[in-house]
Amino acid sequence: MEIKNQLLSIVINVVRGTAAMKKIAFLLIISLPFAQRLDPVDSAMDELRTAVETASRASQRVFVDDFTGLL
Amino acid sequence: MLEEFPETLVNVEWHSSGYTPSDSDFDDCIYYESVGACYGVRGSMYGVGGIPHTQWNGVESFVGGWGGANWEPAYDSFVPIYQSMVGGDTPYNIIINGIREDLQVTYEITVSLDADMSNTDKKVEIIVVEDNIMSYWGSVGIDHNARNVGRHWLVTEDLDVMYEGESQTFSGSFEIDGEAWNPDSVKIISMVQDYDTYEIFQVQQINVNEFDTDQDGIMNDADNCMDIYNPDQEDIDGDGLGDACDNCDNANIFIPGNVNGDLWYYDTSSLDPTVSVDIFDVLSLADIVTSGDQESCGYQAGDMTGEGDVNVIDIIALVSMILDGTLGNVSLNQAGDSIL
Repeated sequence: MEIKNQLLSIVINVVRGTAAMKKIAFLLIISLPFAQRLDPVDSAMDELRTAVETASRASQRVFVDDFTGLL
Repeated sequence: MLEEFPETLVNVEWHSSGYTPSDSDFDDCIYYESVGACYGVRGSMYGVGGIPHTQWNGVESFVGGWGGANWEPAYDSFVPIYQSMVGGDTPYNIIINGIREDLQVTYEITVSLDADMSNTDKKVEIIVVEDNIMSYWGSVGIDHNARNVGRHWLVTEDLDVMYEGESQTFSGSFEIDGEAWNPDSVKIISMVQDYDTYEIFQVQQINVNEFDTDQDGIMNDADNCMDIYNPDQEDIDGDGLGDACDNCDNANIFIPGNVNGDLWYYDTSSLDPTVSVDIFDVLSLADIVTSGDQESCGYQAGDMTGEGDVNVIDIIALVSMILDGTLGNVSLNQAGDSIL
Protein backbone atom coordinates (compact mmCIF):
# COMPACT_ATOMS: atom_id res chain seq x y z
CA MET A 1 0.00 0.00 0.00
CA GLU A 2 2.87 2.31 0.89
CA ILE A 3 4.62 1.63 -2.44
CA LYS A 4 1.37 2.29 -4.27
CA ASN A 5 1.08 5.65 -2.55
CA GLN A 6 4.67 6.50 -3.39
CA LEU A 7 4.15 5.66 -7.06
CA LEU A 8 1.01 7.77 -7.08
CA SER A 9 2.94 10.61 -5.50
CA ILE A 10 5.64 10.34 -8.19
CA VAL A 11 3.06 10.45 -10.97
CA ILE A 12 1.37 13.52 -9.41
CA ASN A 13 4.75 15.25 -9.05
CA VAL A 14 5.62 14.51 -12.65
CA VAL A 15 2.32 15.90 -13.88
CA ARG A 16 2.78 18.99 -11.78
CA GLY A 17 6.50 19.13 -12.38
CA THR A 18 8.83 21.07 -14.59
CA ALA A 19 9.42 20.55 -18.29
CA ALA A 20 12.67 18.78 -17.51
CA MET A 21 10.94 16.31 -15.24
CA LYS A 22 8.35 15.62 -17.90
CA LYS A 23 11.14 15.05 -20.36
CA ILE A 24 12.80 12.55 -18.04
CA ALA A 25 9.52 10.77 -17.37
CA PHE A 26 8.76 10.62 -21.08
CA LEU A 27 12.17 9.07 -21.80
CA LEU A 28 11.70 6.59 -18.98
CA ILE A 29 8.33 5.50 -20.31
CA ILE A 30 9.37 5.15 -23.94
CA SER A 31 12.49 3.21 -22.97
CA LEU A 32 10.52 0.46 -21.22
CA PRO A 33 9.27 -1.41 -24.33
CA PHE A 34 12.81 -1.58 -25.68
CA ALA A 35 14.59 -2.58 -22.51
CA GLN A 36 14.71 -6.32 -23.14
CA ARG A 37 14.95 -6.31 -26.90
CA LEU A 38 17.40 -8.90 -28.25
CA ASP A 39 19.73 -8.06 -31.08
CA PRO A 40 18.75 -10.35 -34.00
CA VAL A 41 22.17 -9.89 -35.61
CA ASP A 42 23.94 -11.28 -32.53
CA SER A 43 21.61 -14.27 -32.43
CA ALA A 44 22.22 -14.98 -36.11
CA MET A 45 25.99 -14.76 -35.58
CA ASP A 46 25.81 -17.19 -32.67
CA GLU A 47 23.84 -19.67 -34.78
CA LEU A 48 26.30 -19.35 -37.65
CA ARG A 49 29.22 -19.82 -35.30
CA THR A 50 27.69 -22.97 -33.82
CA ALA A 51 27.04 -24.34 -37.31
CA VAL A 52 30.64 -23.71 -38.40
CA GLU A 53 32.06 -25.25 -35.25
CA THR A 54 29.88 -28.32 -35.66
CA ALA A 55 30.84 -28.68 -39.31
CA SER A 56 34.54 -28.54 -38.48
CA ARG A 57 34.38 -31.44 -36.04
CA ALA A 58 35.04 -35.12 -36.44
CA SER A 59 38.40 -34.87 -38.15
CA GLN A 60 41.10 -36.91 -36.48
CA ARG A 61 44.51 -35.36 -35.92
CA VAL A 62 47.55 -37.52 -35.30
CA PHE A 63 49.57 -37.49 -32.11
CA VAL A 64 53.08 -38.88 -31.82
CA ASP A 65 54.72 -39.74 -28.53
CA ASP A 66 58.38 -39.33 -29.45
CA PHE A 67 60.66 -41.06 -26.95
CA THR A 68 64.12 -39.75 -27.62
CA GLY A 69 67.34 -38.28 -26.23
CA LEU A 70 70.22 -36.01 -27.10
CA LEU A 71 73.23 -38.34 -26.96
CA MET B 1 56.78 -33.70 -41.01
CA LEU B 2 55.55 -31.29 -38.33
CA GLU B 3 56.16 -28.38 -40.68
CA GLU B 4 54.51 -30.22 -43.52
CA PHE B 5 51.35 -31.03 -41.55
CA PRO B 6 51.13 -28.28 -38.93
CA GLU B 7 47.36 -28.50 -38.50
CA THR B 8 47.01 -32.22 -38.18
CA LEU B 9 50.22 -33.60 -36.72
CA VAL B 10 51.18 -33.01 -33.09
CA ASN B 11 54.03 -34.47 -31.11
CA VAL B 12 55.65 -34.42 -27.72
CA GLU B 13 59.32 -35.27 -27.25
CA TRP B 14 59.83 -37.23 -24.07
CA HIS B 15 63.53 -37.22 -23.29
CA SER B 16 65.18 -40.14 -21.55
CA SER B 17 67.55 -39.19 -18.73
CA GLY B 18 69.75 -42.10 -19.79
CA TYR B 19 70.36 -40.44 -23.13
CA THR B 20 70.42 -36.80 -22.12
CA PRO B 21 73.62 -34.89 -21.23
CA SER B 22 73.86 -33.75 -17.63
CA ASP B 23 74.01 -30.12 -18.67
CA SER B 24 70.67 -30.40 -20.47
CA ASP B 25 67.29 -29.99 -18.77
CA PHE B 26 65.40 -31.90 -21.46
CA ASP B 27 64.82 -34.79 -19.09
CA ASP B 28 63.46 -32.57 -16.30
CA CYS B 29 59.84 -32.77 -17.45
CA ILE B 30 57.55 -32.51 -14.42
CA TYR B 31 54.80 -35.10 -14.02
CA TYR B 32 52.32 -33.43 -11.68
CA GLU B 33 54.93 -32.31 -9.07
CA SER B 34 57.56 -34.94 -9.78
CA VAL B 35 60.58 -33.59 -11.70
CA GLY B 36 61.99 -35.90 -14.36
CA ALA B 37 59.16 -38.45 -14.13
CA CYS B 38 57.41 -37.87 -17.48
CA TYR B 39 59.52 -40.21 -19.59
CA GLY B 40 59.10 -43.09 -17.15
CA VAL B 41 55.36 -42.69 -16.70
CA ARG B 42 54.59 -42.19 -20.36
CA GLY B 43 57.06 -44.82 -21.54
CA SER B 44 55.67 -47.47 -19.22
CA MET B 45 52.24 -47.04 -20.81
CA TYR B 46 53.60 -48.34 -24.09
CA GLY B 47 56.35 -50.59 -22.77
CA VAL B 48 59.08 -48.40 -24.20
CA GLY B 49 62.43 -50.14 -23.83
CA GLY B 50 64.74 -47.61 -25.45
CA ILE B 51 65.10 -44.82 -27.96
CA PRO B 52 64.16 -43.89 -30.56
CA HIS B 53 60.58 -45.04 -30.13
CA THR B 54 57.57 -43.30 -31.65
CA GLN B 55 54.02 -44.17 -30.70
CA TRP B 56 51.36 -43.08 -33.18
CA ASN B 57 47.96 -42.17 -31.75
CA GLY B 58 48.88 -44.44 -28.87
CA VAL B 59 48.36 -47.62 -30.85
CA GLU B 60 51.11 -48.04 -33.42
CA SER B 61 54.75 -48.30 -32.43
CA PHE B 62 57.80 -47.61 -34.53
CA VAL B 63 60.98 -48.64 -32.78
CA GLY B 64 64.55 -48.00 -33.85
CA GLY B 65 66.30 -45.54 -36.12
CA TRP B 66 69.12 -45.14 -38.57
CA GLY B 67 72.79 -44.50 -37.93
CA GLY B 68 74.25 -41.00 -37.82
CA ALA B 69 70.86 -39.45 -37.03
CA ASN B 70 69.85 -39.98 -40.63
CA TRP B 71 66.12 -39.35 -40.46
CA GLU B 72 65.31 -39.47 -44.17
CA PRO B 73 64.32 -43.14 -44.14
CA ALA B 74 62.20 -42.38 -41.09
CA TYR B 75 60.15 -39.94 -43.16
CA ASP B 76 59.36 -42.65 -45.65
CA SER B 77 58.29 -44.95 -42.83
CA PHE B 78 56.33 -42.38 -40.86
CA VAL B 79 54.28 -40.78 -43.62
CA PRO B 80 52.23 -43.91 -44.37
CA ILE B 81 51.43 -44.32 -40.67
CA TYR B 82 50.36 -40.70 -40.44
CA GLN B 83 48.24 -40.91 -43.57
CA SER B 84 46.51 -44.04 -42.35
CA MET B 85 45.31 -42.16 -39.28
CA VAL B 86 44.72 -38.55 -40.24
CA GLY B 87 41.23 -37.31 -41.05
CA GLY B 88 39.43 -40.30 -39.68
CA ASP B 89 36.11 -39.95 -37.92
CA THR B 90 36.27 -39.04 -34.27
CA PRO B 91 33.45 -37.84 -32.07
CA TYR B 92 35.71 -35.55 -30.06
CA ASN B 93 36.48 -31.90 -30.58
CA ILE B 94 38.93 -30.05 -28.34
CA ILE B 95 39.15 -26.30 -27.91
CA ILE B 96 41.98 -24.86 -25.82
CA ASN B 97 41.72 -21.31 -24.61
CA GLY B 98 43.08 -19.19 -21.83
CA ILE B 99 44.87 -16.09 -20.75
CA ARG B 100 48.57 -15.50 -20.31
CA GLU B 101 49.58 -12.81 -17.85
CA ASP B 102 53.35 -12.52 -17.85
CA LEU B 103 54.50 -15.98 -16.75
CA GLN B 104 51.16 -17.08 -15.34
CA VAL B 105 48.94 -19.04 -17.70
CA THR B 106 45.31 -19.85 -16.99
CA TYR B 107 43.82 -22.38 -19.37
CA GLU B 108 40.37 -23.69 -20.20
CA ILE B 109 40.03 -26.84 -22.30
CA THR B 110 36.64 -27.84 -23.62
CA VAL B 111 36.05 -31.35 -24.95
CA SER B 112 32.78 -31.78 -26.82
CA LEU B 113 31.10 -34.74 -28.46
CA ASP B 114 29.31 -34.70 -31.79
CA ALA B 115 28.32 -38.37 -31.52
CA ASP B 116 27.65 -40.77 -28.68
CA MET B 117 30.80 -42.41 -27.29
CA SER B 118 31.35 -44.47 -24.16
CA ASN B 119 33.33 -42.64 -21.49
CA THR B 120 34.79 -45.83 -20.05
CA ASP B 121 38.55 -45.42 -19.50
CA LYS B 122 38.55 -42.12 -21.41
CA LYS B 123 41.00 -39.56 -20.07
CA VAL B 124 42.03 -36.06 -21.02
CA GLU B 125 45.75 -35.33 -20.92
CA ILE B 126 47.02 -31.78 -20.45
CA ILE B 127 50.69 -31.25 -21.24
CA VAL B 128 52.89 -28.16 -21.42
CA VAL B 129 55.70 -28.26 -23.98
CA GLU B 130 58.37 -25.94 -25.27
CA ASP B 131 58.81 -25.85 -29.02
CA ASN B 132 61.81 -25.13 -31.23
CA ILE B 133 64.77 -25.55 -28.89
CA MET B 134 68.05 -25.65 -30.76
CA SER B 135 70.23 -28.22 -29.07
CA TYR B 136 73.42 -30.10 -29.72
CA TRP B 137 73.28 -33.79 -30.49
CA GLY B 138 76.66 -34.86 -29.16
CA SER B 139 76.94 -38.43 -30.48
CA VAL B 140 76.60 -37.35 -34.08
CA GLY B 141 77.90 -33.79 -33.74
CA ILE B 142 74.88 -31.98 -35.15
CA ASP B 143 72.52 -29.30 -33.99
CA HIS B 144 68.96 -30.44 -33.61
CA ASN B 145 65.78 -28.39 -33.48
CA ALA B 146 63.86 -30.13 -30.73
CA ARG B 147 60.12 -29.84 -31.24
CA ASN B 148 57.55 -29.80 -28.43
CA VAL B 149 59.82 -30.95 -25.64
CA GLY B 150 57.71 -32.12 -22.71
CA ARG B 151 58.10 -29.66 -19.83
CA HIS B 152 55.17 -30.24 -17.53
CA TRP B 153 52.61 -33.00 -17.74
CA LEU B 154 50.01 -31.15 -15.72
CA VAL B 155 47.18 -33.61 -15.21
CA THR B 156 45.27 -36.63 -16.46
CA GLU B 157 41.56 -36.04 -15.97
CA ASP B 158 38.57 -38.37 -16.24
CA LEU B 159 36.31 -37.62 -19.19
CA ASP B 160 32.68 -37.93 -18.12
CA VAL B 161 30.74 -36.89 -21.22
CA MET B 162 29.35 -39.65 -23.41
CA TYR B 163 26.38 -38.31 -25.40
CA GLU B 164 26.18 -36.22 -28.56
CA GLY B 165 26.13 -32.52 -27.80
CA GLU B 166 27.67 -32.83 -24.37
CA SER B 167 30.85 -31.00 -23.45
CA GLN B 168 33.16 -30.87 -20.48
CA THR B 169 35.57 -28.15 -19.50
CA PHE B 170 38.85 -28.58 -17.71
CA SER B 171 40.51 -25.50 -16.30
CA GLY B 172 43.61 -24.75 -14.34
CA SER B 173 46.79 -22.75 -14.37
CA PHE B 174 50.54 -23.12 -14.43
CA GLU B 175 53.59 -20.96 -14.35
CA ILE B 176 56.11 -20.68 -17.14
CA ASP B 177 59.68 -21.20 -15.97
CA GLY B 178 60.96 -17.85 -17.14
CA GLU B 179 64.60 -18.83 -16.78
CA ALA B 180 64.63 -22.31 -18.29
CA TRP B 181 61.92 -21.94 -20.95
CA ASN B 182 61.38 -19.50 -23.76
CA PRO B 183 57.93 -18.01 -22.99
CA ASP B 184 57.34 -17.33 -26.69
CA SER B 185 57.50 -21.04 -27.50
CA VAL B 186 55.38 -22.55 -24.76
CA LYS B 187 52.36 -24.56 -25.89
CA ILE B 188 49.54 -26.48 -24.29
CA ILE B 189 48.74 -29.85 -25.82
CA SER B 190 45.62 -31.75 -24.86
CA MET B 191 44.31 -35.09 -26.03
CA VAL B 192 41.60 -37.63 -25.39
CA GLN B 193 43.05 -41.06 -24.72
CA ASP B 194 41.61 -44.43 -23.78
CA TYR B 195 43.56 -45.76 -20.82
CA ASP B 196 42.67 -49.35 -21.59
CA THR B 197 43.71 -49.51 -25.23
CA TYR B 198 45.82 -46.30 -25.12
CA GLU B 199 44.19 -45.18 -28.35
CA ILE B 200 44.23 -41.42 -28.82
CA PHE B 201 40.98 -40.12 -30.30
CA GLN B 202 41.78 -36.46 -30.71
CA VAL B 203 44.53 -33.96 -29.95
CA GLN B 204 44.81 -30.19 -30.03
CA GLN B 205 47.62 -27.71 -29.38
CA ILE B 206 47.99 -23.96 -28.97
CA ASN B 207 50.80 -21.57 -28.22
CA VAL B 208 50.05 -19.74 -24.98
CA ASN B 209 50.63 -16.45 -26.83
CA GLU B 210 47.92 -17.25 -29.35
CA PHE B 211 44.89 -17.63 -27.14
CA ASP B 212 41.66 -16.31 -28.62
CA THR B 213 39.34 -16.20 -25.63
CA ASP B 214 36.21 -15.12 -27.53
CA GLN B 215 36.97 -17.29 -30.58
CA ASP B 216 36.50 -14.41 -33.03
CA GLY B 217 39.68 -15.09 -34.97
CA ILE B 218 41.59 -12.21 -33.38
CA MET B 219 44.22 -13.31 -30.90
CA ASN B 220 43.98 -11.83 -27.40
CA ASP B 221 47.03 -9.63 -27.81
CA ALA B 222 45.43 -7.84 -30.77
CA ASP B 223 41.75 -8.13 -29.81
CA ASN B 224 40.06 -4.87 -28.79
CA CYS B 225 37.38 -6.89 -26.96
CA MET B 226 39.12 -9.96 -25.61
CA ASP B 227 36.03 -11.58 -24.10
CA ILE B 228 33.36 -10.61 -26.64
CA TYR B 229 33.02 -12.05 -30.15
CA ASN B 230 33.68 -9.09 -32.49
CA PRO B 231 35.54 -10.17 -35.62
CA ASP B 232 34.99 -6.74 -37.23
CA GLN B 233 36.89 -5.01 -34.40
CA GLU B 234 34.88 -1.80 -34.88
CA ASP B 235 35.95 1.05 -32.63
CA ILE B 236 33.92 4.15 -33.37
CA ASP B 237 35.76 6.45 -30.98
CA GLY B 238 39.22 5.06 -31.68
CA ASP B 239 40.07 4.62 -28.02
CA GLY B 240 41.42 1.09 -28.49
CA LEU B 241 38.36 -0.48 -26.89
CA GLY B 242 36.01 -2.07 -29.42
CA ASP B 243 32.40 -0.99 -29.68
CA ALA B 244 31.26 -4.43 -28.56
CA CYS B 245 32.75 -3.88 -25.10
CA ASP B 246 33.00 -0.08 -24.97
CA ASN B 247 29.93 1.46 -23.42
CA CYS B 248 31.30 4.93 -23.86
CA ASP B 249 31.36 6.55 -27.27
CA ASN B 250 33.88 9.25 -26.45
CA ALA B 251 33.81 10.65 -29.96
CA ASN B 252 30.12 11.38 -30.30
CA ILE B 253 28.25 11.11 -27.01
CA PHE B 254 30.48 11.20 -23.97
CA ILE B 255 32.52 14.11 -25.21
CA PRO B 256 34.04 16.36 -22.52
CA GLY B 257 31.23 17.99 -20.58
CA ASN B 258 28.39 15.70 -21.60
CA VAL B 259 28.65 13.77 -18.35
CA ASN B 260 25.13 12.35 -18.40
CA GLY B 261 25.43 11.37 -22.05
CA ASP B 262 22.19 12.96 -23.15
CA LEU B 263 21.46 13.38 -26.82
CA TRP B 264 18.61 15.43 -28.23
CA TYR B 265 17.11 16.21 -31.56
CA TYR B 266 16.51 19.91 -30.94
CA ASP B 267 16.67 20.89 -34.57
CA THR B 268 13.53 19.42 -36.11
CA SER B 269 14.64 20.41 -39.60
CA SER B 270 17.60 18.08 -39.36
CA LEU B 271 18.10 14.48 -38.34
CA ASP B 272 21.42 15.37 -36.74
CA PRO B 273 21.35 14.77 -33.00
CA THR B 274 22.75 17.33 -30.62
CA VAL B 275 24.82 16.75 -27.53
CA SER B 276 23.57 18.92 -24.72
CA VAL B 277 25.86 20.20 -21.97
CA ASP B 278 23.87 21.86 -19.22
CA ILE B 279 23.12 21.97 -15.50
CA PHE B 280 22.13 18.30 -15.51
CA ASP B 281 25.69 17.42 -16.50
CA VAL B 282 26.97 19.46 -13.56
CA LEU B 283 24.68 17.54 -11.22
CA SER B 284 25.77 14.23 -12.71
CA LEU B 285 29.41 15.19 -12.32
CA ALA B 286 28.80 16.15 -8.70
CA ASP B 287 27.29 12.69 -8.15
CA ILE B 288 30.32 11.04 -9.71
CA VAL B 289 32.76 13.03 -7.57
CA THR B 290 30.88 12.38 -4.34
CA SER B 291 30.31 8.68 -5.03
CA GLY B 292 33.89 8.04 -6.14
CA ASP B 293 32.63 6.33 -9.28
CA GLN B 294 35.50 5.81 -11.72
CA GLU B 295 33.95 3.28 -14.04
CA SER B 296 31.13 5.18 -15.70
CA CYS B 297 31.25 6.92 -19.05
CA GLY B 298 30.45 10.12 -17.20
CA TYR B 299 33.76 9.83 -15.40
CA GLN B 300 35.59 9.93 -18.71
CA ALA B 301 33.50 12.82 -19.98
CA GLY B 302 33.85 14.69 -16.73
CA ASP B 303 37.59 15.12 -16.75
CA MET B 304 37.33 18.75 -17.83
CA THR B 305 40.87 19.66 -16.85
CA GLY B 306 42.32 16.65 -18.63
CA GLU B 307 44.47 15.70 -15.69
CA GLY B 308 43.30 12.07 -15.66
CA ASP B 309 41.35 12.50 -12.44
CA VAL B 310 37.84 13.76 -11.76
CA ASN B 311 37.33 16.02 -8.75
CA VAL B 312 35.71 19.25 -7.61
CA ILE B 313 38.01 21.27 -9.86
CA ASP B 314 36.35 19.60 -12.83
CA ILE B 315 32.92 20.64 -11.53
CA ILE B 316 34.08 24.24 -11.25
CA ALA B 317 35.62 24.06 -14.71
CA LEU B 318 32.41 22.64 -16.18
CA VAL B 319 30.23 25.32 -14.57
CA SER B 320 32.63 27.98 -15.76
CA MET B 321 32.60 26.69 -19.31
CA ILE B 322 28.80 26.54 -19.42
CA LEU B 323 28.49 30.09 -18.07
CA ASP B 324 31.13 31.32 -20.51
CA GLY B 325 29.38 29.62 -23.36
CA THR B 326 32.52 27.68 -24.16
CA LEU B 327 30.43 24.54 -24.17
CA GLY B 328 26.92 24.26 -25.36
CA ASN B 329 24.90 22.31 -27.81
CA VAL B 330 27.19 20.48 -30.16
CA SER B 331 25.72 19.18 -33.37
CA LEU B 332 26.95 15.82 -34.57
CA ASN B 333 27.93 15.18 -38.11
CA GLN B 334 25.70 12.30 -38.98
CA ALA B 335 22.53 10.98 -37.50
CA GLY B 336 22.96 7.66 -35.78
CA ASP B 337 26.76 7.83 -35.71
CA SER B 338 26.76 7.96 -32.00
CA ILE B 339 24.50 5.02 -31.31
CA LEU B 340 26.57 2.01 -30.37
